[in-house]
Amino acid sequence: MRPYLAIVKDSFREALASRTLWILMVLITLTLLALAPFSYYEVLTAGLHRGDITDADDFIQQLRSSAQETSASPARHIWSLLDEKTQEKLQKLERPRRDAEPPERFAYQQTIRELQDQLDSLMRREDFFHAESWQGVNFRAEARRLTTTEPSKLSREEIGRRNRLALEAAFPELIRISRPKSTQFTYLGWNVSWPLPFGATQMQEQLFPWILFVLDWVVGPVGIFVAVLVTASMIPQMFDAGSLSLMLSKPISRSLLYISKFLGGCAFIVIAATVLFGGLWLILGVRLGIWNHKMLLYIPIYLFLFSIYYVVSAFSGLVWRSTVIAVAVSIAFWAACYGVGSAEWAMRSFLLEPQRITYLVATNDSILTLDEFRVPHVWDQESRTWQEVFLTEQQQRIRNQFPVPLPEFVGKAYDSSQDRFLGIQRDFGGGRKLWVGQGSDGWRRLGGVDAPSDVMGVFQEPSGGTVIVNQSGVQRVVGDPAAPKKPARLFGLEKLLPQTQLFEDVSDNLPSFAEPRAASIDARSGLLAVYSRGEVYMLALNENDRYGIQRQTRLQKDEDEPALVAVGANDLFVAFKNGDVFEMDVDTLKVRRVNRLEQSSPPRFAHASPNGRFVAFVFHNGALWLWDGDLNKFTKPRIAGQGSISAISFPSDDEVLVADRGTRVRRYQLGSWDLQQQYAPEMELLEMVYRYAVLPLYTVFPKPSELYRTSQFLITGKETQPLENDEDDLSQPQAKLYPWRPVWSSAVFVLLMLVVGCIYFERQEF
Amino acid sequence: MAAPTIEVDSLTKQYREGWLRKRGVDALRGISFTVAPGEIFGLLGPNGAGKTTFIKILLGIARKTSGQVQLLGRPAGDRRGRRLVGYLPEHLRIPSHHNALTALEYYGKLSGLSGHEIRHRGGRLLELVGLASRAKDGVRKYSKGMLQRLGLAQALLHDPQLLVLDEPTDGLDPVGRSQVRAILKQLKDEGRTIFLNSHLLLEVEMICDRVAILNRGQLKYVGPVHTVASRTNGVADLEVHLEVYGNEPRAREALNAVLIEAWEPLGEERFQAHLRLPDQTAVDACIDRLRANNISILSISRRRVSLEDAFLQMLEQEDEA
Repeated sequence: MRPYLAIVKDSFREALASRTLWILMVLITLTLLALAPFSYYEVLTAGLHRGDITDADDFIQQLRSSAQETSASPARHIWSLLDEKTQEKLQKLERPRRDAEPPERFAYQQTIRELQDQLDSLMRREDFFHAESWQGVNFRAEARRLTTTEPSKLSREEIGRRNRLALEAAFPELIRISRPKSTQFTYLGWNVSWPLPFGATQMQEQLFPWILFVLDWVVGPVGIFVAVLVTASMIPQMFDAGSLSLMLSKPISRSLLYISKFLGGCAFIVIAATVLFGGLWLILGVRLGIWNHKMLLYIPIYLFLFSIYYVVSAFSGLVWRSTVIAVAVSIAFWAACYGVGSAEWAMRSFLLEPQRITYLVATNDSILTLDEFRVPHVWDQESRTWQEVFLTEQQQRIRNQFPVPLPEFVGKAYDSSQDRFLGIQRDFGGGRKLWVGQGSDGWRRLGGVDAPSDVMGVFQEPSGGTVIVNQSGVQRVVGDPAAPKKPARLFGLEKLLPQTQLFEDVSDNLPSFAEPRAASIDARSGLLAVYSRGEVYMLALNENDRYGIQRQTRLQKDEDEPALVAVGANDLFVAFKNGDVFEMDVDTLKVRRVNRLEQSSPPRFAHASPNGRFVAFVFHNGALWLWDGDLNKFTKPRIAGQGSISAISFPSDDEVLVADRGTRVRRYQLGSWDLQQQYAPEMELLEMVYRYAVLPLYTVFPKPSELYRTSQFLITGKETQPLENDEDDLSQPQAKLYPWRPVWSSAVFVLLMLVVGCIYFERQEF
Repeated sequence: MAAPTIEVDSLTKQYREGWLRKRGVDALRGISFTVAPGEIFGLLGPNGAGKTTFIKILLGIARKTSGQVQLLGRPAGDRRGRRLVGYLPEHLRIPSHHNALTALEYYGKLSGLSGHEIRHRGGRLLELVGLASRAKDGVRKYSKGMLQRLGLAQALLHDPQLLVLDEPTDGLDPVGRSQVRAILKQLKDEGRTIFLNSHLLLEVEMICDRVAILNRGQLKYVGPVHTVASRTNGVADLEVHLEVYGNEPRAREALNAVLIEAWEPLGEERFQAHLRLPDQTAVDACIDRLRANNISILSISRRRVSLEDAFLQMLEQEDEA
């Protein structure tokens, strides 16, 4: 081994003697020095920031109404603190109509911004909170402590915090619940940001993915490109007359000489990557408290990434003995990899994934589904295709023009007694509408009445009723949401009003369910399970036909962690984003076990069978787990498509519908998992091109540009990655990282290229 | 008798050329010779004769087409055989990030030496080649001669049994050449075999025991240096210049038995003759015959035919043929 170690050592020596390396080192050091002064400190969350008012219309309306009231209330007190000019503006403020001109919309938004700014400054004042006005308001523990303390004993920061909590308590549905601490970033001791609405832990959690993003998409490609440029000459230089002959006259193997030279070339990136990532790791740890030792894994990952390009550069240098050609071929190789990867990504992302079924339910005579773009379909047995249904004209128009996702359904339920689907869908303007459609009517979309805000879910009660669980409690649908609206004249304008009151609040002294929150129903008993910030509530109908708290418990879990809830016959499950599934006794709410079903993927959906024996969990990585209440255990069924399962539904107590591989739905017998029926459309031409041409090519091609998947998986431990901004909404789609795919394909490529290079070098005469 | 250090038997090498590699070019055409242990052997030939090809085959850098080449009892190119060979290539290039010490460390380790062995021998060798005082200077500051001497040091570092030197004195000044010759002489005295490829025929003549002459891939001569001339023109390797006085027919009669290369009258009964004679005995016999025929010898000078003369004459004969 001595001669080959000498070659590797010589490459280190060469790298250290290289001026380019030192220039790069200086640049890296300067970058690290520039980043080092970044720091942060925590402050109590106070004030009001843009976006903190979740429903400005409603909030302003409440303030305006309070002006007429005589009794003290938070709204009235706040109104009294506003200056006259603002009061006047608010009195006149009207939400612009949909077809309003941009200046009118802008003026409306401007007034809201002014109100927010004024409230923000008012909330720094001691007199913002007035105990009498807040009488009867439910406070959280932190708020109770601050509002009962003498103001003189509170710091300015604490007064700001008290005021914020008081506002949240007074308007639980309209003001976003804040975290206790905010983060203030500094540079060289100067504040460089406004207080960001999360504490240090959340900051670290949120910042870290961005750091990884920059490392993967900016630092990585630039660094690799520079490294390839610098090292491209190493192999061609070996062929200089008088140099190669001497090397080959030594008692060494040509193959090992080539491999040693290749490994030696990697020495360059080892030195540069160690300084860069070691420095970043130190800065993040010392300055921002992010001590993630896994970040040092970037050094071997970058080395591997570099080796993929370098093996091409080395082979080109071996064949053509020219640095310029080696660089050109490396760039062409990058372009080829990028092209194949992009083609696969584009076809998968724009063609296949949007069609993936994320919700399905067996209707009386077919199957109704929603896909990733929230487009409803029903199965047409005759044509064996999924037919689009239940779209508004506007949605149909949009779909015809742009392949964009439709607004999300925040709640949906199927009422089998009436063969009716109810869905609360956001609209493009930011509101929420309740829509209904009936199978017998061809799933024509009817209704469109304004639905309650902050919906957790829509559920069918055993009695046949439909309830909506939201932040403020439980609302029952009492009218007919499909009934046509009645024209009415209001302030001289004609408006369409629902015929009757549609929703009835059936909450009995329920608290405000703060985020993160989730709800589910036991279809047999009608018990509602609600999870909210670490608390689990079992809600039951009381003698007044209203939902009250039957039992309540607190889970030992980070209250910011998003979760799903599912109720079985005897079991209640709370599945958290980090993969922990709390298994609880439904009668006592005692935690029996904490399961970890999928190590590296969050759950996406949870459903219970009608009799409550089975509870299914679908994870973002496409895995399906099933709880069998009779056997008291979880199993991962060995069925086709396991790993690509995207939705599940229980049409009866002994059958299950499973959506896999995008658009295929299979009906299985529960227990035996015998296949009963399959609903799978014929493959279209583009899909065939993808499956039989693009995908095989992509599979065998090296994937250097996808190594970010590996690094992200190794560092975060997550196998899936949120695609949309709201990563705390577990139902939102997440991209499966396939973290080892780029490693295997690239490793095979590197080995193959080395073997080919060795054979070429062995056979070549010089 | 010890086994030959190098044994070449009917060695041929054909290169393929052209886009489709269909055209064959014969670089070596069935050459055979041996190099005995302890001798200094020179390989001569004009450019394109096949000398470098032969060295490449010997060291495993190129592959033979047919025939046999044994190096220290092993097939040419065998790694164990190469371990016992020190090689100084023509146009040696040592990477510019080295100094003499690191270069010796690098090439020494490539030859399988330990760090201790390299340090132990390296200093002595740098003294030997006159680079000890510049050992820590980067090679980029070295002259061509210094690089050549460093190349010689690396070739000697692992104490090889056979030294293959391709133009070892190339770029050296006269003092440097003299030093190299002295080193080679010393190595020969130590019993090492030296295989020399040089264009400087005077050097070869001064150093080598035997030579082989290649032309267009064919072996034209192999044998002792001092017999190259006799092989070239049949017998003569002494060139004699005579100025005589006397009767021309009688003078010619006296020289009748020898090769007269030129005969030139200088005046009345005065002549100048250029003769080729095999040895001193023949010169003496000539003088005796001239004197017996009453011819006066006004002046006589003699010189041995140089390797260069013989080499060029051999090539001329080859061209004429």
